[in-house]
Amino acid sequence: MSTDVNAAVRLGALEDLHLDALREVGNIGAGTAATALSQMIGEPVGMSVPRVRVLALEEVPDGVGGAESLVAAVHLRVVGDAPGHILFIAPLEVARNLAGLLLAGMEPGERDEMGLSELERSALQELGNVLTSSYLIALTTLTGLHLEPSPPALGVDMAGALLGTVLAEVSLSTDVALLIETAFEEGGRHAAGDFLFIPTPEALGSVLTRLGVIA
Amino acid sequence: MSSRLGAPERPRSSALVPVGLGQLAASGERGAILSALGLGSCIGLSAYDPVARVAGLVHVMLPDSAIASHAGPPGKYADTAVPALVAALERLGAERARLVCKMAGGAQMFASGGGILNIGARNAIAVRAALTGAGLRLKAADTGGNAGRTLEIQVATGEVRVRSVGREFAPL
Repeated sequence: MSTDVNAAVRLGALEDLHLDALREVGNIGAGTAATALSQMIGEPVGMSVPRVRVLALEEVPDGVGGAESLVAAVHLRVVGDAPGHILFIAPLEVARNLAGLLLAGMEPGERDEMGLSELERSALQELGNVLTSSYLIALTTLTGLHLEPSPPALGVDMAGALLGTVLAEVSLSTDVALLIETAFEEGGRHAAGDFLFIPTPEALGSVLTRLGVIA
Repeated sequence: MSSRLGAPERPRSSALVPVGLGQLAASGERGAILSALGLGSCIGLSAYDPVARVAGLVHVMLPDSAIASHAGPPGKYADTAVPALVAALERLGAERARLVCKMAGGAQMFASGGGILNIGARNAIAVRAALTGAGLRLKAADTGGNAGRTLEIQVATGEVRVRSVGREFAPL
């Protein structure tokens, strides 16, 4: 049965039922992470309705704002019953703002060419740890699948350069990526970043089976 | 395509050909610029025949097609990308012996781990090995480190330029 889902993903032809279930995955994952973010920065955090898209791998960097756009990204590899990748990606300006909120007036220290100090990078790493882990825990609770994270890793650079490394791994088994994206809004004003959950084709079958939308 | 033309110093009229993940492009159009945007652990490998005046660029993601369960386009792997690049250029009148090859990328993008272990360094080694295997010489390389790069090659001149975040384009 997961073979049919894989074929559907390749054709970009997942049924509404599947898409709804995957949006729910995005909703619950990002909702849990939004609560965690709100507690960390002490401000309300809203979120968008999740968007589920199937993109050719080479289209993904443009799909998330352009290969050369500057971002901070935290990547967590999921291993276990539903292997895949979870990424939190924020435009560099937004990441600097988030780091400032997290440090709450502490002296940040000398900044590097990305405009971030060691301390601000640590703050973003910690933020990414909490957000991606929250997302994963929600996913585990929702599906009952056994999922384990790699240690989350922070990268600050061009979006294409960061995503390329992750997509290289995805591309070992497929030429398309299923993106479940949810955007955060901090204080209802600024975009605060996007969540990407990229399940491998095998993982997609496992998740949809557990959610009861494929037999 | 307009978002890929976003770099401010490029005139909108120039024929910028983006070469995405795993993709390969070859061109003899004098106005064209082939560009691999945002190379991280990936390698942008360019080749130029100064006599035929044709340029090629391939965006390599992985070292070896043998490690994958899924084939994908030849540009994806170092071992298949090099022969595919040569073949594409030969179809445009290039001769293998005249090809000038340059590459950039192969960085480690995440502070710890983040993708397959040392994939950037392995990509760089694999591309070098594939070039040697194909009897091609690597004239210049800018690989390793922790910064993303953009590489572009002008078809008219064969000039290759590379830049990282916060740096201007510099000739390679």
